[in-house]
Amino acid sequence: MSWDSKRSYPVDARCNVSVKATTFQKGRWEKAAKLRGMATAGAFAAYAADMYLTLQRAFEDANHEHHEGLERGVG
Amino acid sequence: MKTASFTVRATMPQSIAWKRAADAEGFPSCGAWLSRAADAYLRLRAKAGIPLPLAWHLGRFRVRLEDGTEPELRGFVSPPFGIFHGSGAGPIPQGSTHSQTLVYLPGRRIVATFRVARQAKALAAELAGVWARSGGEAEDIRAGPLIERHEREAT
Repeated sequence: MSWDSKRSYPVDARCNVSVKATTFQKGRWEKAAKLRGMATAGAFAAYAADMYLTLQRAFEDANHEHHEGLERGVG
Repeated sequence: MKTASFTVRATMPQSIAWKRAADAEGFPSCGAWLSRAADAYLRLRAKAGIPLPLAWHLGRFRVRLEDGTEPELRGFVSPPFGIFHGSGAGPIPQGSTHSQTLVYLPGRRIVATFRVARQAKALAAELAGVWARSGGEAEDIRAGPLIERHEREAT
């Protein structure tokens, strides 16, 4: 990461994350970016990372609810 | 293996969330996690069968027509699909006849014929998901119910 740990950052602070990828990976991300109207592979990587986390949280929430429902059913 | 390095610009909340995820999943750096997450997202989309957006451009491709010939036709191309103005009987070079045919290019096979290109493109976007799930290596794709639904909706 190109930023250091500090006590606080401005609300609109931005930072750069360095990513290494194979040329095949980068080509695939560039294609995916183009299909979604994004300018660069980096823009797609940022979007995909956010979507990955969102989907992961949605899955965990649904899983948690499902297990709670099962426990209530057993009780 | 050739590698490429580039930077991803992020807001502070984004980068904090990514850093937390990278730490939690045991990645040595945020960039390494980001790379894995981008690939995982593409795989998830393909597995979920979500229609994939396709970029179309003008081009030429071969099609097996009803009479057994395989002429090279002009049309819209977005591998592995093509669309030409005409039907299984052959291309319609001019005029406003509503007939747009979707072709699966690796097999040169006609998939379906619609009144407008938009309908053919919608079916291609759904079939692209099927094709991606097969790893893009299938000689032919079989998605009968999907094609039937699109043809029903189009009429």
